[in-house]
Amino acid sequence: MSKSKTSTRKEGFEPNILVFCCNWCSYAGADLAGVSRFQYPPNIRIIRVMCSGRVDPSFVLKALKNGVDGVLVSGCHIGDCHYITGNEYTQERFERLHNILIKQLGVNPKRVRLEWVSASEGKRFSEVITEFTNQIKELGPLKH
Amino acid sequence: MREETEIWEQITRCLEMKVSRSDFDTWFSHTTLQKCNPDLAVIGVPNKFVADWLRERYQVQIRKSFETVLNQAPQLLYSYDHPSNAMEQSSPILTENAHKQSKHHLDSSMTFKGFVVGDSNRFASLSAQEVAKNPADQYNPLYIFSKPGLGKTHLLNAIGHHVLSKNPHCNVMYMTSNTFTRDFTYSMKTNTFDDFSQAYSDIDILLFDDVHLLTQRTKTQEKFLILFNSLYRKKKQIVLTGDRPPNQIADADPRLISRLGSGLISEITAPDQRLKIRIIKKKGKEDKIDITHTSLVIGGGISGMTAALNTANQGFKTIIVEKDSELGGNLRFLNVLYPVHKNALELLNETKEKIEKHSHIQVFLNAKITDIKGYVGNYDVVINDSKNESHNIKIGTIIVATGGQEHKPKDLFGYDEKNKNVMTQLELEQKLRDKDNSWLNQINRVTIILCVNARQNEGITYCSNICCATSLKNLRILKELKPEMEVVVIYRDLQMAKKEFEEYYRERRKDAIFLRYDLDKLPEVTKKKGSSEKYQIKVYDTNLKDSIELETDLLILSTPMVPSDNLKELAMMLKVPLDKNGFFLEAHVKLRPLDFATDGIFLCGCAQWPKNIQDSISQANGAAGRASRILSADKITTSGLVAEVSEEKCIGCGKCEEVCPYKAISLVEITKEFEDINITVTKSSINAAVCKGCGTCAATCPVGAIMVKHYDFDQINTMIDSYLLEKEEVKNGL
Repeated sequence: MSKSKTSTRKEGFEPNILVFCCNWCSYAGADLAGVSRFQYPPNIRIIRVMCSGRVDPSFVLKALKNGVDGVLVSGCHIGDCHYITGNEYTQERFERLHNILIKQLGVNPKRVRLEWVSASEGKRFSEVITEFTNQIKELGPLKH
Repeated sequence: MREETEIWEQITRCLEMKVSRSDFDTWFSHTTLQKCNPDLAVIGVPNKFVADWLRERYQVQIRKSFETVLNQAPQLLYSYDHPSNAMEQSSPILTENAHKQSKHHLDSSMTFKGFVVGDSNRFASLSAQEVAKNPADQYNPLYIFSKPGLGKTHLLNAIGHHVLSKNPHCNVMYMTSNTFTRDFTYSMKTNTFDDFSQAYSDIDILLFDDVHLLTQRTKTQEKFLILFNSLYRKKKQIVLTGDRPPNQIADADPRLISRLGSGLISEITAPDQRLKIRIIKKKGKEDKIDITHTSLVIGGGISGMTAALNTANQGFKTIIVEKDSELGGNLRFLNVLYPVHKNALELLNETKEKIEKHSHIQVFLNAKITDIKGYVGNYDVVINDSKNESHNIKIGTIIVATGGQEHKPKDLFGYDEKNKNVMTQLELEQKLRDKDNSWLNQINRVTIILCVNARQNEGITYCSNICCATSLKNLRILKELKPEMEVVVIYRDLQMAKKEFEEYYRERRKDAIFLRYDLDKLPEVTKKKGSSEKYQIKVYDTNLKDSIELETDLLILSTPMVPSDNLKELAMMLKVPLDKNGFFLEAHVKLRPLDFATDGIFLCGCAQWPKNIQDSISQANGAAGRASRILSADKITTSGLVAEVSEEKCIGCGKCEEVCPYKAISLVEITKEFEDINITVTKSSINAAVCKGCGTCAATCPVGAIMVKHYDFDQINTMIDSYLLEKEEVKNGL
């Protein structure tokens, strides 16, 4: 049983990816992707927050600790934030998260990504998800 | 009058015996009787405070004295000199209501409608409703018990409201055991025990909260028992609440316990998750804030004036802030409006006259807005007027109508001071407006170049929407003034949307030659040598695929409209976004075209993108309509989605204050009292009405002291956990 499990993992590894979307741009973008029937891999789950600025680094760390293989945080483009400057703080926070925490923990920083997707970019949303999922697939499962 | 003075003397003498000397001197020495008949007695008092005091404390005594002296029981009203010299309580109905309000002590927000029913409180709610429908019928007394905060008081108040709505004359009294104890001890102290009993004797429905607090107060308990018995005997409804079943109330008179348990007993248990969610949702909806019924219009162009007239005509006070010395904006420079061909000056004067005559509109000319604070319905705006005096004005909604201005091309197509006959459309319009058209005698050939500096790869990339139609309008006017004139229009594309404009364009095709150019090969303009103003133009026509050279006397450049100056500063103050071209950006291009994402701020006219007069007017009316939606309400519901600070956890570092884009967070100093010492500490405080719930502060807080409702740490963490849980379940085949 366990043998077959590991073998399937190696051959067709399906990563678990958590996506944080802001309510105003990216979540609407994801919605648009759905409405427009753009295809993207089914490996993601979206948690909606009001602003990407709400995403505390602890959420990302918790997700990774729990066994998520990749985390994507998506917000409005810089300057378009519904809350004016919320995404600027997200960016700042992410740089710190990448520089210090991810490196110290030995997690490949490619597993945690920050993207800007606006409400009109349904196509882009599906592309970002596809690309990110492929990237995580290449990296393989996150080992603890 | 004489008679009334005598009556009042007798009544006061009677009152003097019932109240203590000092009390009498304080409260009755400056009173008069202004009016007296069997139904109504108006007592004159020095101020509202005395009126309230007499109504609360001495109502019964005064009424009794009336009965003794006159053998009448008139309705008592109090009158005093109001600051506005109007008598308060000139309307008896109002007083009656106010009087009732003060007597039954019910909380108006607690009704059956606002009570969220679930499994845990269904029985209690149903029994309360039954009692409210048929008081003193089957379930008397009704005893409701639960732990604190589960809705006992709400049900009590709801019963009272329901009964009063059915029968306004019913004597409903809500009280807590504490008020009962307080009144009782007061009556003991002042020796007015009879009045105390009297006040409670004519109750039809007694709603008694927190009966368990009567324990250990033997005398009060006794008094309460007497009251209970007398009401019960008279078949009056009694509803009581406590925090435990009657038989578990320790230290209480056994008679009281048996009375409490003699009717229907219902319990409210702790709510389950689903009910909690429903209650939170309901509460979230109910946050309400007051509205200032004043509208501010920024910009006094045609859009601003139209919007202001619209709100003012609806009866709202409206303020226009205009940066120039007169109203009108770009309309002042226009000659004729298309496609209606109406004189622009007529429209301007008409509108200005309406504004000047309107009593609801206040205009600040040469004025500037220096500060905007607050939130929807309650903006504090500082306006610097022409004398540089600042005015602090409270505003409900803001309409942004800052308009635009014509772009002046620099060193392009020979546009500079030396070439007098190279001009922009607006300059041409101003020239055409003059009655004296003799300058046209010299001009036989006119060339119009469209999209000058517009739709570039860099710089101004947008289409300015109005310049094509403006050019064709001016072409028509020139042709009307001088039919033999030859006109050439050099264009890239023509933006003539709408049927009427298409027709307008078809008509003009007969009057001019149209040549098409593109960005790769711009037309070249050179001034012909010689004294007169003549220019040589070389165009590469993309339809002919060949160059054409022509000569012209007048060259008109159609330049795009660009945003007004210093919009960035205003956008920062309003906390609203600008688009990449520098115009204001609406909340949603299709769903909310007149609103900003920030509540209570609207936009119209060329502040959004270049528009003609017709569109500006319709949009201004639309924006005014959106604004009046807020202005016409007394209160508005705010979102329940806000952040909250836990005072215990907050360390007062101020990081949240820095990141808040809405300035909703401020650091406040709080004095903590310990046994002997007071310590002042800084704590963060969030204004719920300003907060938009983005949660940036919560993610920034180093100690996790800020909780965003609906998006708190536990909720998001649970979502993260459940994601992988779901995966596990799939793996295990569950």
